[in-house]
Amino acid sequence: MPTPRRSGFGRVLIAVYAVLAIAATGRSVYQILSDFQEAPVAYSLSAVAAVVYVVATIALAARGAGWTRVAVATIAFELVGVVVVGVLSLTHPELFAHASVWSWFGAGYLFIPAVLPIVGLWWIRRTERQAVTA
Amino acid sequence: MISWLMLTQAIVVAVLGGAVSIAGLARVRMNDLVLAASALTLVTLVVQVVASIVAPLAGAGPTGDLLEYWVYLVSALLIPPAATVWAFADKGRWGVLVVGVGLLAVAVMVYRMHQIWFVQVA
Repeated sequence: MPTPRRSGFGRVLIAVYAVLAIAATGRSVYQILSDFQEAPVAYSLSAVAAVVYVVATIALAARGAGWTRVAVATIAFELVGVVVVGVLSLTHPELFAHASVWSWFGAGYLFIPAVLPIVGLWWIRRTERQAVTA
Repeated sequence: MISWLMLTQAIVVAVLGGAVSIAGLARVRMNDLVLAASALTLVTLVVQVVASIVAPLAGAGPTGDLLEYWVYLVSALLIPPAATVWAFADKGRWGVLVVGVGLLAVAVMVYRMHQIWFVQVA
């Protein structure tokens, strides 16, 4: 039986995750290489976000119950991250003069960072249920 | 580096990505045209790599940060082959949609590269 999580719609979901992981990693590497001291808060945040997206992408694509837990944990972290950082970037914009993936609820990335964790958690729940009933 | 050519590249890749995505949503199965769209996108990016090396040597460097530009270009180069390989496990609509989404991402990245090279708001 093929692993349901990375079949069908899951293939597109994981592809979108991978693109976001590449985008976040690229931005973070550039920020750290260019001038980290300029905005340590925003740049550290970018690095954390990049790691979380990379791990979430791998966890979604991998098999096994352990990876499922990793996927849920990282995706839940993203959801919290995008909400908290989104609110903070509105209330304390001085902290976020330099953009991160999650600033303004991911507006710089077409709000994909805000939508993706919700879709991701829904997809894990759906495929895990299928695995139980199958 | 030629401004309108790079914008044209972004638009062409966006149209390819949009067309492939629509095909995927319309349940078109994986076919040679989808692969050709991905290959064509990769070729335009390879041409851009050459142009990006030659242009600064010819005295036409970017107005923005060259490092940031290259981070985008190298990332964009990875996407068409990776999306195509990832799509191959699913020869149905979802595989096609994977390629479409990948190409749309490349289009956005080329647009950003154009901004870095030519347009500085700061």
